Amino acid sequence: MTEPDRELIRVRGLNSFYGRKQVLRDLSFSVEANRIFVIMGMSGCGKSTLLKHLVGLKPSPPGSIYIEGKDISGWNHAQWNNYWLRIGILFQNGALFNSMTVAQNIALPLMVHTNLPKEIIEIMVEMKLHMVGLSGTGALMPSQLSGGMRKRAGLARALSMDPEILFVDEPSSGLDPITAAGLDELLLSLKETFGMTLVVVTHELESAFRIGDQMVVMDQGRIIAYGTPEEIRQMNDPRVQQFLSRRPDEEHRDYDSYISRLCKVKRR
Amino acid sequence: MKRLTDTFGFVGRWILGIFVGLGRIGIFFLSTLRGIAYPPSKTGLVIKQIYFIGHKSMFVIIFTGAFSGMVLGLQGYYALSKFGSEGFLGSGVILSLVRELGPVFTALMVVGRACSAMCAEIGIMRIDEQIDALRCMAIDPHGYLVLPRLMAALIAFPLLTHVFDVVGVWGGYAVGVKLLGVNPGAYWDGVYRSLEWQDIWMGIVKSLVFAVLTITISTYKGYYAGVDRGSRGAEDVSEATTSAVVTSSVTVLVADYIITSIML
Amino acid sequence: MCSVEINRAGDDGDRLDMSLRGKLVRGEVKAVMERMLREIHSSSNLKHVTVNISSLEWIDTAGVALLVLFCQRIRAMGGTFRLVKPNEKVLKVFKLAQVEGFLSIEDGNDRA
Ligand SMILES: Nc1ncnc2c1ncn2[C@@H]1O[C@H](COP(=O)(O)OP(=O)(O)OP(=O)(O)O)[C@@H](O)[C@H]1O
Ligand SMILES: [Mg+2]
Repeated sequence: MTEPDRELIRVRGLNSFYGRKQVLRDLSFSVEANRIFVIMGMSGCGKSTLLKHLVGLKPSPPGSIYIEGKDISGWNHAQWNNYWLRIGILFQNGALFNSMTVAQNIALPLMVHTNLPKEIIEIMVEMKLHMVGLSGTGALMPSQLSGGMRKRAGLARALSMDPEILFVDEPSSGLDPITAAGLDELLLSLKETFGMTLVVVTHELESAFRIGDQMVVMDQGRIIAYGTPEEIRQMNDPRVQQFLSRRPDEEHRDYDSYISRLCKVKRR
Repeated sequence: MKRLTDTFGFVGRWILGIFVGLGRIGIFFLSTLRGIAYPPSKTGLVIKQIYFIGHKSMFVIIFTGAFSGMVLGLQGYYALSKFGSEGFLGSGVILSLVRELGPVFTALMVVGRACSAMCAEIGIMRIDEQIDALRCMAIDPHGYLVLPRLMAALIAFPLLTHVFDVVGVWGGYAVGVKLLGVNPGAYWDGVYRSLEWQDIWMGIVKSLVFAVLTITISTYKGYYAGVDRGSRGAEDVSEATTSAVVTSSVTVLVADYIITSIML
Repeated sequence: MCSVEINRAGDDGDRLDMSLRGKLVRGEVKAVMERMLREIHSSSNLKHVTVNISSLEWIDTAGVALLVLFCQRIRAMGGTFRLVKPNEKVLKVFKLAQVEGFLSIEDGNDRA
């Protein structure tokens, strides 16, 4: 349990590259303990990349990410393991181990890291499956699940160690509105019950405003809005307003380069 | 002149690439060994992998073992009969099998059957972010994915090699004795008398070295499938698998020569 | 830390009152489970088990799983199981896991 209003994650001027291509530009924000932090933005703007930095799957430059005040770029193996034992992650594609059943997927971290008896682990697995609305699917293989079910099984796995910090990449993509609303409630009650801190990437405006305590809106690797849901709603940045009112781009933003590409095709 | 520097540049880059690759695979191997000290416990995983390797390769090994032995019987008979010394057939067959063919063919068969599958499996885990998921569960992917396979191979390779040798001796017997009429007593006598501890030892050393080389190469290729290019496509896995099989096979043959020349 | 306190009562030892104190979390569950199961296996005619958790400060899902397992074992033996006086925080965890009905949770005041 963590007391609220404590800064858990601090990001300062984070830049990120794939090869020469820059995908994150000078990001700065803070995530407070026992809050739901929502990350929104257009597809391809770098949200999943940002999560990778926060969980240590992509190395961050020194001085850009602090967790509980400590710069993660200098962490050693033991410090990372320590951190990884405290967090849970839902990957955008679920990333279930496809050679194991759903139940074995969820049980794996418990089997490796705890001395819990088998019966206890089985009950815990069944409880986690029930929380995400997948009761009775434990014996199935990941390939036998639908996309939305795979996502929820991944969430159940992320919850198996009762993490202090939960990172979720688009929990409700591919889900019907009823199930998606159920997941929103689950995330809220995880925060409420366990005092969890959540970092949630989502495209669903409604769900973002329902669960978020703090949010950022990203566009092309930059943060264009950062604040509480009310502050974001009041912001009169045109791009943010366009995002919130779900208006499509009026014209193709790279119209000239699009035309030049078309012409290149003809010339060859 | 320009062409010359280009050629040198190319060769230089190529050699550099080989050294970088060797360095990386060395680090990969050491990180795998480090996994011994960390959870999870490997026993169950190792048993599963022994079963996997055995189950995948047993049939081909029996099959190729039988035919290798038979062909040795045939060739040996015709070569030896020129000097009227068919009686040495048994020792020719067993020495060729135990020292050379057994370890090499077994390794090549396991590469084709089990190592390719391991590479593909790990490659898929890489492109589907499952390896990342393992890391974020504080489960060391080297220790969890690579080490059990390596340990299993160290047990399975000598056993499978042994199966190959035994089947091969009987294959030689079938052709030499049953088909071509060599005296069975002379055949078995040759088998028992010519085999020495040194030969068996050489066979075991080879199969252990091949186990380490093939498994390390195959899992390494799968583990880094698409990583250099930063891509996550199906073709990364297929490329990794092809490269794993080719590299492992070539390495087995080269290592075989080196070990033989050292131990003879 | 989680400590277990046990009182046997009733005419011929058919009642068992337990109370749990502290935090019933992942690292504690194995030891507590062994202690609790030893207790129920050592008595042949156990009928009523009450677990008082008024001094239990915190529980995680491993702890909840332990209580579920325990309850299920006792019912399978034909006994009754009651869980009394969870605090607010602990009750929330039961609700999230949706086991408060199964565990027959009582305040302990209104019903005896
Ligand atoms: N492995 C990679 N190599 C090169 N570029 C990459 C790689 N992964 C992602 N990118 C690029 O980085 C940018 C951000 O990708 P990211 O996956 O973070 O987007 P996202 O915001 O999560 O999008 P979505 O909402 O569609 O999931 C994209 O432009 C993408 O092309
Ligand atoms: Mg994404």
